[in-house]
Amino acid sequence: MRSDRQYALITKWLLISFFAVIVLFPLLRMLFKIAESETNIVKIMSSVNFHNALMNSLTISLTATLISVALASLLSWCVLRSHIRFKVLLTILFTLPMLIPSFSHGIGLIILFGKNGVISNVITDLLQIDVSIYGFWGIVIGSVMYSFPVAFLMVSDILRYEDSSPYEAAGVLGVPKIRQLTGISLPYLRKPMIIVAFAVFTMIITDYGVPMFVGDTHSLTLPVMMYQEVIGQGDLGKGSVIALVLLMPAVMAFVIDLLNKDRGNLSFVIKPFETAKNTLRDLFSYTFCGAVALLVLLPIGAFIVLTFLRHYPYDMAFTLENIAKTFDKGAGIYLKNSVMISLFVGGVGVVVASVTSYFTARMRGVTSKILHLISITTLAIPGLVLGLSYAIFFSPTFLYHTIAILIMVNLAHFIASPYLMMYNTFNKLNENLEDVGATLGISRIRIFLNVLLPQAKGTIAEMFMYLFVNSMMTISAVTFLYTSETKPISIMITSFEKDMNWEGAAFVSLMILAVNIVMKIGIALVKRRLLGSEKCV
Amino acid sequence: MDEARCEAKCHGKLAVENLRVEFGDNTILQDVSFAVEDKEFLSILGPSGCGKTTILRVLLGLLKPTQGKIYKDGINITAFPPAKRKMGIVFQNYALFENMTVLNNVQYALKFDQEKKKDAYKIAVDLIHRVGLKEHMHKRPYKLSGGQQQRVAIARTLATSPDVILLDEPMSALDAEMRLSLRSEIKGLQKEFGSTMIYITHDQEEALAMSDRIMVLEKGVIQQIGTPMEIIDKPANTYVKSFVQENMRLKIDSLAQFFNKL
Ligand SMILES: Nc1ncnc2c1ncn2[C@@H]1O[C@H](COP(=O)(O)OP(=O)(O)O)[C@@H](O)[C@H]1O
Ligand SMILES: [Mg+2]
Repeated sequence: MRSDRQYALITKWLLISFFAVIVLFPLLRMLFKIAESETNIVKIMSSVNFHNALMNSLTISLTATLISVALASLLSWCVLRSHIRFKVLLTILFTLPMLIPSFSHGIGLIILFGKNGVISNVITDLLQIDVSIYGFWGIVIGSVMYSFPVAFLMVSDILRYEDSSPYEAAGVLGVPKIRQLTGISLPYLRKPMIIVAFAVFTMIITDYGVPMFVGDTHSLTLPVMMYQEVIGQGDLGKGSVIALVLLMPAVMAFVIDLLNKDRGNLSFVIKPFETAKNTLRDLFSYTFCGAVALLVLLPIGAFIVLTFLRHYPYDMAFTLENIAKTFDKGAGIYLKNSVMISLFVGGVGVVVASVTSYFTARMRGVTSKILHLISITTLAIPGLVLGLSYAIFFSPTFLYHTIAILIMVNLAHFIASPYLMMYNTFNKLNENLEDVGATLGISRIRIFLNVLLPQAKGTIAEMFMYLFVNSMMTISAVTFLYTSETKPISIMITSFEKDMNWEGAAFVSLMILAVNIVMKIGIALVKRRLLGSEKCV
Repeated sequence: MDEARCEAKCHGKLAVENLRVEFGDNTILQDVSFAVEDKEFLSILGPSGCGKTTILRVLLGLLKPTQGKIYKDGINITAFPPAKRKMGIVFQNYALFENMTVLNNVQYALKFDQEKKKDAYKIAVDLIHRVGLKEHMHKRPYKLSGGQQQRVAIARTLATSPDVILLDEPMSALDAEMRLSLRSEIKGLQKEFGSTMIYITHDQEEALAMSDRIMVLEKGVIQQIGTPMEIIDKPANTYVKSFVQENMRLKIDSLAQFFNKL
């Protein structure tokens, strides 16, 4: 099987080079930029503006992370540890915000609670008080809105795989509930919950959609400052310095992953929870889940109202004028751009993630470790930072103004999650398949194509969907890179915000949501057809 | 030593000579030499972690030994790739191709064999009949019982007509009752196909009941090779004695308990 080994080595180095070009080189180039542009790091970092932005970022992100994780934990507990109905529907509703850009959440808040907002008008009329969403709490609320679905999915996963037997034993022994919480739940949940909090924190502190829309001068955050430096002042050096700071979570994740030796899949027998009958708890769960679902639907409802009503609340006539206007501004072309980019990112990403995880999950060796480390690290690199590094690294190349660079930046931005999905799937498949193949004279490549991939069909569908949906709605990664011809639809939201064209922004948000929902349903149908009642990973 | 080497080389279906395997500073196998006769059923018996699977991986060519040689039919195959060794493997968890039917599991490898490609279907169907899975030919593995899955794994191996079949603790995933009935089934298949088998187990009783000869392994060193009678009657050292007797006593104890209950 020497040729097998040679192919493997060549492919591994190709992949390492690929990751080097789409992640490592741009980031390194950005670091050099700081050095060559004689940007004074110390001066920038010790400036009052920077200091304020850093403090704003930290306080806002910490507050929003706490609320988001707490909310998500309570929600998952309600869904998983109660007897309420409509659990699937609720889960779908709670994850709906993951299908629109963080910018849309900002827009949603403005439409609802901004000056002349749908709800602030009502409140002002009724209570005669002014409501203002702008500032610290507005950013916190917006950040919670788009980050809690991610936290919800992660916490649900943790709770779903929690073993019930220690609780049963404690119950038999008469250990009080509060001691069960501190003695069993906390030790078990501590580590995974820290991971969740870290992920959510990284997501919030690197986002600039919400703070750009609902922030004011007193609540300037680092990503917004970075955006203003680059787009407003054209100061790439200063932008890079801020980018460096925003990279810290990624560096931390990298170091933690290096130190974390036991990466093996823990798979022991888990006794699922049997939920006891408790009417009070179920009643609470209904109320709480219902309230959150309503809050989630509120912005989407507002988008619909703004898009289809002539002039809320004064002229409630139905109109398609907003839609026509948006299409006049090129929405059709940009939508096509976005769909094309997303399809490419999905297709290429599935191939790259599958092949990479094959090497890291099913072959040993130093190159496999390197690959794993690179792929994991991209998880925490903010889109804005990646975008800036691309603008610096690729501007002298022919790629710069093409649609290819948008595909590349999205790949680099989103590849980590699908990679991990496939990594887990490949780890679950029987470890001896390649060995059996070797004794039967079947090459590794054939085992990969004919045995492993067919068993990972479900994961492939999931990966594709993840890549598509996220490429469809990203703004941060592409914001420095598009041209008037390659412009993705999501960017229209930022332009509309500048013109205060809320109707247009609402309609574009709806379009992105609709495309993503269609994709989600499509993938669900494909998965059902592919898998049927089959046993699959 | 020299005598043993000559014997190993000149006789037997398979001969292993002075095998040594190291992982870093750990010596996993040391001075392992033995021979297997044609159509023999040899068990490798030892506690978990003693190096049984490592021997098997070296025999199959999946792992390069630090030192030592392997002969098959008098030919040095130490440098041969796995596919050229004509040795089959049945893993503990069977490692079946879950996405394929029983038929495709068995005939898959034949499709890449220039000579057998034409007859792949016939060979596979014939094998499936002979291992008694006729009705299950078009089912996928997850629909079969553990014992049936094991037979698929054996048929899949037999399809490439190996000279030696290795089985790595094939019973450990099954319940006690199933294990008993499968003992005679495996022996039956060995007789029917006239195969040479190397059977890995940590269950003394299983080894004693099934084997022509048993090789007792401890911490990577061979303690004794002999027929079941020899192992019981003339244990080579205190380790073999205690290992076998301990087990027999347990068995007798549980039998006694069983009869007491009656
Ligand atoms: N790839 C490897 N690297 C390092 N140590 C290994 C490797 N494979 C097996 N070992 C070690 O070799 C010893 C023997 O393993 P193995 O042959 O699987 O034992 P058995 O099959 O008898 O249970 C064990 O201590 C195991 O930890
Ligand atoms: Mg073993």
